[in-house]
Amino acid sequence: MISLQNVTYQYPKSNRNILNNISGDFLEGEFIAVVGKNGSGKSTLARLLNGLLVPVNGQVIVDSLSTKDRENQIKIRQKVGLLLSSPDNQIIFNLVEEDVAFGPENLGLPTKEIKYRVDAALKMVKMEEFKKHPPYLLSGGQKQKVALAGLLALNPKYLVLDEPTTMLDSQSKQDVIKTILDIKNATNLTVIMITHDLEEVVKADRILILDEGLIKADIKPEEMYDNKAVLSAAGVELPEVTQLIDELNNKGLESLPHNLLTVDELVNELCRLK
Amino acid sequence: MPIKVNNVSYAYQVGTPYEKLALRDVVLTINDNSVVGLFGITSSGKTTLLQVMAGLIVPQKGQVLVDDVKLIAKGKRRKFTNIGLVFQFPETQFVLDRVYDEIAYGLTYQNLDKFIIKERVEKSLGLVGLSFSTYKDRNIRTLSSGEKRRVAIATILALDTKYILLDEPTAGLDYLGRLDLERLIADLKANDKTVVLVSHNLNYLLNICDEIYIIADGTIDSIITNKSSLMDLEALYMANYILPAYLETVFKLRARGYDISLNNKEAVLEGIAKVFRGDNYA
Repeated sequence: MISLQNVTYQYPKSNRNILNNISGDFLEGEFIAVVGKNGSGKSTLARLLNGLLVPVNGQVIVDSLSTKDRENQIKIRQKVGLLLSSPDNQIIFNLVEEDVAFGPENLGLPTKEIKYRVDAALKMVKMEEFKKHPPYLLSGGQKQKVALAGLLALNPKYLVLDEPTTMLDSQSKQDVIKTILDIKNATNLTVIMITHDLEEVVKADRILILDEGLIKADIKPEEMYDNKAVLSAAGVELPEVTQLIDELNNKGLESLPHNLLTVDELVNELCRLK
Repeated sequence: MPIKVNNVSYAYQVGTPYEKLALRDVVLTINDNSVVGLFGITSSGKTTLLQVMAGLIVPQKGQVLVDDVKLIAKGKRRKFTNIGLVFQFPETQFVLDRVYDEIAYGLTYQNLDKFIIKERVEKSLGLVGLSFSTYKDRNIRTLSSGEKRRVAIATILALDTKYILLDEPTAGLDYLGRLDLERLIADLKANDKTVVLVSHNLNYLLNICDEIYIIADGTIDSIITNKSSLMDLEALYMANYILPAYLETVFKLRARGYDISLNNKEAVLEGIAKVFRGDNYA
């Protein structure tokens, strides 16, 4: 479990708390989406979770280890993998397999174990065939999956994703998200994803809405419609399907429930009405 | 006078095992005072095409004409073109600290009077919705990411070019930022500018563009204009492109045998409601 205990953070030379006394738990195996506008403190939260930033006040506890204690840093970084939006910023080697091996090599693991982990991680993200490719010739989605494999090779317990798909087109986006969710379901990984994309948010177990440095709401995806005022104040738009249901209800289809989240669910519900 | 792309082909890494043809015999005309979208999946060639139009990439075959003048002559790009290009994530390329200095920077090489420079900075900040007096002295590093994006766009607007090319301008922007950008593009059009933007969000392009070129495998696969019917979009749905939710819904219902009109969005919503709300609805 990762636990936030009255966490406050302020960047050096700033006089504003970007996060203001927030608390909450991330349980094992959960998929949590964090939403909010630019500048709401989402990325700061991501960096606090793996100890890249340390709270000014309060504590972040990862499996009973506080990120404030420097001795815990290496252990915490192995447990909590952080994926950034731009894969180009985290890929450093000339071959895909070398890049994925970088983490395990630094743990001083035996060669055989490294090889095993690299192959397993590339298999998980379905990039085995690109093992000997130079990363710079891959597409954005493929690069993001290589960066993800690099994290998985460290066998993390928690995966923090900071807008992992902003650079990708819709198809690659779906591919990356599906890959992440498949891995999560197969391994009981905890996934904490920061995103602007509501089609991604609807797949989460719960949603944290961040605004003005506070957690304004902690809801399930089906409850988004009921919380539309909070969402809109936090600069988050409702998912397209939810908006569409509203428009259809205004045309005399009052009975459509607001907890439908995908086009397929909506189509099935409509056909059931007939 | 428009931008004309004549039979342009371009390959990356020519002569290596990784040679990749990015553009194949592309022909298109960007009309003046229009908003044009280039849409396609990652590595379809849309960014390459944008960079060819800006003269940053010299095509191996074909030519780009801007206002009837060749953009590239003797292998070299003309020094002053009427084209401004905003890269993807432009805020990573700031060179100075103060907002005013950053926006004025591109003008310092044009031998302009400092009053004209000030006027241009003021005007371009206004266009991106930032007040001159509040922002001119701000340190760029202390701005939020949305504000940085706007300053980055203002640096190009200050050059006062007729054509403005934007590469994935919505990437990383939140909902409010995307709405702001939508307004900015409409303002630019109202100010006689021509805007070309690359995006992988078809939904967004459908809202703001006069014409959308669908790029696949380095060629123009199809063209959607604001006069296209929803029928034309059904072909894109069949080709697995992701469309607005109301369109996906109606295409899925049509595939299940429900005959719903594809006249326009209003007719689609009305059609769905009519089919499914039952007989006793008055």
